[in-house]
Amino acid sequence: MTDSTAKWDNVDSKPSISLTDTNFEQMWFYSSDTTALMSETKSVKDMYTNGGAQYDWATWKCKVVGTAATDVADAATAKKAYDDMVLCNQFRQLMWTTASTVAFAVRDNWVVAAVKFSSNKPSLTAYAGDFGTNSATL
Amino acid sequence: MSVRGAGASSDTTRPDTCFSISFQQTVASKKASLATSGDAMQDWWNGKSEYDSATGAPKSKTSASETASNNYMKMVWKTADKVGFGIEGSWVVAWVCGTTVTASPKTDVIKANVPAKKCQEDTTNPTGSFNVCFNDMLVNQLNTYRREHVTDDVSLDKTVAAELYK
Repeated sequence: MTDSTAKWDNVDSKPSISLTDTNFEQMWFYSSDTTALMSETKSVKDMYTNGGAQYDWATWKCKVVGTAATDVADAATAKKAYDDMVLCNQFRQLMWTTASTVAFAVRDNWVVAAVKFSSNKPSLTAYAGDFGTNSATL
Repeated sequence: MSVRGAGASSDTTRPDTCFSISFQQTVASKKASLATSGDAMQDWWNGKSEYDSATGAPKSKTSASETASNNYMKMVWKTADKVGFGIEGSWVVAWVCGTTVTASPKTDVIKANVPAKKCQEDTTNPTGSFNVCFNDMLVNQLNTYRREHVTDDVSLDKTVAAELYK
């Protein structure tokens, strides 16, 4: 059964986990089907397949980069660009070369993931930056 | 596109105590990576979604569901203790062997040999309980992807897992 609600998200209603170590990044995957969340690898597969599709291996940048705010025609387009950015960022964080440890849990309708980086954590704001030296290569 | 099927051509020497599982890669550009991609194992494992643990049978009577369910069943067969893999043309073939392997096993035999997966808390972790198999499942899947990109594995942080689990 296709779960149309399943997606990586970063909305304000996500469960808040207190991790004071700045080497961590957290991310959240939502689904209305909690049974599926617990028993399947849907969240990680979605990260790789859909998040990876938003990553440009030629430029080592998220594809959404370059969509300047002034180019966004309407709210729906802006939301799509935001969603694509979130997806791409989960992909970058979980595939990042210096990611060293990870942990997962299900809270309510969310898979919560926490990734710790040994060094050179990907910057959440550096979407336009060149992060090639820490991108996994094909 | 990949195709599950009855198998590659040479299956005549297979012992009766071995299951055969096969996977065909039909995309020409991906055939070269057949030996390194792990696509076959992933495809067989994906058959889990078609296996009904309550009945020991496929979830539907379609050919695709039955093949997928059977592949998963053979992979996790309880008493299987030997396995071998080979590549023949565009096919990956595995033989999974064990003492209770029989051709076309009945559902009661299948249920006894495909034990339900139990996700349970690790209450012995000194920093707190967390769901062991849920983390193992996702960490393994993530590392499968990382290895495809020649990137080091990540390991499970049990302390953080316990923190997230609270």
